[in-house]
Amino acid sequence: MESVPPIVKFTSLQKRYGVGPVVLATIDLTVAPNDFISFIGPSGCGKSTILKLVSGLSPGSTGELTVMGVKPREARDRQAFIFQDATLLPWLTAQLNVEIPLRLRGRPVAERQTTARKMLELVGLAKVADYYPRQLSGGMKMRVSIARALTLAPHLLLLDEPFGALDEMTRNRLNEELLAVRAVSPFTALFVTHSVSEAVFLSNRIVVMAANPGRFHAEVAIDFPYPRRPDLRGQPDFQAKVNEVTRLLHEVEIPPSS
Amino acid sequence: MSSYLLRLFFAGLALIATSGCGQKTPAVSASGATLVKVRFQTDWFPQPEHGGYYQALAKGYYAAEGLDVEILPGGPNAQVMSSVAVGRADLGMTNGDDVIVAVARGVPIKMVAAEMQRDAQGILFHAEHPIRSLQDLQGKTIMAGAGSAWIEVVRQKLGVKFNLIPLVGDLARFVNNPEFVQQCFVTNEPYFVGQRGVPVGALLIANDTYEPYRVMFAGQAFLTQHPEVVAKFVRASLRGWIDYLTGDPAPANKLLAAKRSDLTPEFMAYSIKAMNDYQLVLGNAAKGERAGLLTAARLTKQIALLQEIGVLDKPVAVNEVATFEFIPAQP
Amino acid sequence: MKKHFSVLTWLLPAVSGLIFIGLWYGVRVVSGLQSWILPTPVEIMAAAVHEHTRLLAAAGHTALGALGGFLLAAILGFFTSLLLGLSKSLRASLYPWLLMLQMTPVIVLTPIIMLWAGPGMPGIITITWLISYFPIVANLTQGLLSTDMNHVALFRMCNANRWQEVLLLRVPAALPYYLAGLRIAATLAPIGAIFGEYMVGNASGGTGGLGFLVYSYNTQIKIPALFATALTSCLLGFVFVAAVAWLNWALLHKWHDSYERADH
Ligand SMILES: Nc1ncnc2c1ncn2[C@@H]1O[C@H](COP(=O)(O)OP(=O)(O)O)[C@@H](O)[C@H]1O
Ligand SMILES: [Mg+2]
Repeated sequence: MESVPPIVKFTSLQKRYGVGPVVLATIDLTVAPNDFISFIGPSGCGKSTILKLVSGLSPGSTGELTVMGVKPREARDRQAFIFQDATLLPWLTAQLNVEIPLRLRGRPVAERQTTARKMLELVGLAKVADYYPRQLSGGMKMRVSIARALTLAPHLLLLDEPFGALDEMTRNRLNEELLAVRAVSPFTALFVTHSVSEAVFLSNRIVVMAANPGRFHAEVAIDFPYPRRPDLRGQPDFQAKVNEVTRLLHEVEIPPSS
Repeated sequence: MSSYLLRLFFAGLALIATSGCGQKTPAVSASGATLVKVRFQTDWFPQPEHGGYYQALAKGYYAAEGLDVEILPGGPNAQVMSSVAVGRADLGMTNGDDVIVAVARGVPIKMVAAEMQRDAQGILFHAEHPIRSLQDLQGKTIMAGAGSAWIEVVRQKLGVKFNLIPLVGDLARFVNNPEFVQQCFVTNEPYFVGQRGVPVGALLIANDTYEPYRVMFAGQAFLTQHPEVVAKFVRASLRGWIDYLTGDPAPANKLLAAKRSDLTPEFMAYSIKAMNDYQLVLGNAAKGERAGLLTAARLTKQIALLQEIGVLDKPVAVNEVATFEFIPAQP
Repeated sequence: MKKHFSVLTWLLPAVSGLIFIGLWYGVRVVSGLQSWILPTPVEIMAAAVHEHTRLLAAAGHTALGALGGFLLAAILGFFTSLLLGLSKSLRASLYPWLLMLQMTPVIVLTPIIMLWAGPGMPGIITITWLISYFPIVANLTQGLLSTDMNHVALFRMCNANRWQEVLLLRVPAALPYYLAGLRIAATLAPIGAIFGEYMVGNASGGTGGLGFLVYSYNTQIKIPALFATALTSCLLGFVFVAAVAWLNWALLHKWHDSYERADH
């Protein structure tokens, strides 16, 4: 394990937007291949900023950050981003939305179509390939978004509260589907969420963050083996982990009085 | 703007217009096999007041002179003088006063012949109204184009005081109000009002004090380069006018009707009759007038008058305004 | 319930229209006005029938000018907006001047248009273009600036180049804005063309447009025909608006929220 290079490595990374306050203070983190790391913490603690740094959408201020051994921007071809709302282009059908990353890279039409079709099948949406986004439910839209992110078989997937807007039942089902998809098309994941049970169900590592300035408060390892089955949620071990993370969250949300 | 700058401006525009349109400058052919192209800009939609030119066209008078004349229809805001100045047309026709003022401001054009010995502008009134001379306008309210030179002449030179309301081209108002008095063209409005069964009278504004020509004019550049073409154009046009007003006007009228379906034979006949009754084109022989004649004496008087009433802010020499070399000798 | 409503949408305007026409006749009878001051609807329809060849030819002429100006505005407006929407510095340097041009009433520009574009169709098209150009530019520029930032981030993540971002994202996203601009332009174009004919028309080619007929009928005191001209202008306007509404439907109904979606 020691010899495998890290997928993402933060070294004393600090971030401020322009001349604004420090948003992230001295982050150190090493992401190993096939890690599924969830970031959880109060609003404004810099969770989205971490994903923006990794994707190269926003540069770090001081310290170092490498993604798969290179600068974040240079690793773009091997990563994909899934946003909170599905960010489908409303004027394109589901199929054409999934084709977008291939199209932007100038892949031939035939390849685009077969790959997109395959990805839609993977998320169980082959039947609605010709639907426009507004004809799809919230859960279906998010599945299309996942299919789109996976078309280029990325090594690293960044997900910023992807299921935050969905009802709990849909969210649970999509959690299960995400893991199922990951079994077919493996990727390392950095996952931002507000839901403790979602984080516990999906991740092998959970980073609890504190705000003002944004920093890592604690890290919790979740050792349940993959593949994880839905009934995992009912087990006492699972509940114990949920309780542990919730307690850590309480610490950062209500600072201990000194 | 100084007249120098204005000249420069027009020269620039002319350059743009000629380069943009790729228009050919006329080249006179010795054999006469090919005709010289001439563009003539009129001041309004085709109408009997342009009849002479259409007659010359229809009866081949232009062709006989070796010219291929295109009569460009005008309309509202026709800007005949600017069109000629920038070279979009070679010659044009309009009110003589306007040419005097434009030349004084530096627009590179020059009168080459008279079209009408006096302008057709008139006062339109209901027949029952006691208006028989311009003096009778005293104390009246008149609908007229603000800024018309005749208004200042009548006020300042004749001492007649009257009120003005803006000219909105709406004869219905006139027909409906027996007290109404308005500006008109004696060749036009009286006919349509008469058609409504309303007895009308029309008084020509031109008088011994104020007698503006209507003129044919050419662009300076065209005049300098092609004086022989101008001479031919004037000759053929006047021939057309005389024929239109004294002979059979049918050829021109046919052309006019083809260009404007709303011109009826009756109206065109009325217009022709008015042009003859008021001696507009052929002139009053008793006063030594004849078709096409421009006299330096009358233009000098007109320039002085325009200066006196403030329409012209600086003097302009007669020979800058007009050239008399193209005016035919006694017919 | 729905059916009831659709009957009312027909019935109410019909009733109010009838009342209006009744009042019209009433005023005519009571006032004793003559037909050339206040023609009745029947007289207007009669005039329209009598003058129909002239009205149709004129409407065709006006439609040509309106279409010319409209298309010019649509094309130039598209490219102007691209420049404005995609470059901050171009926007800063050009927009104030465009606004100034827009603030200038076209009537003031008429002599200049006459001088530069020339009388007749070129002048008419120029005026129509001037009138319908700005709503298109204003709308489309706004649209190009309103692209969803997450969509932009998505494209950046895919290493999209500037052209791909413009053609595959910003322009399609701004399409509803562009069409909204075109809809406004479609109502303005026939008005602009008629105004143009009235200001700089020269009735060349043997037929003037509706703007020319206004002169013609006015000097001839054919007032019912003048009303019929107004009616024809109105119908022409409807044709233009309907055409753009159809285009709008064709391009948007499948995906845009402004159209009701079929419930599968
Ligand atoms: N583009 C930006 N410019 C300036 N400040 C920003 C920007 N994006 C986020 N921030 C600030 O950075 C902090 C962290 O934001 P974010 O990473 O979005 O937090 P989270 O996702 O945890 O809610 C917040 O205080 C936010 O206001
Ligand atoms: Mg966030």
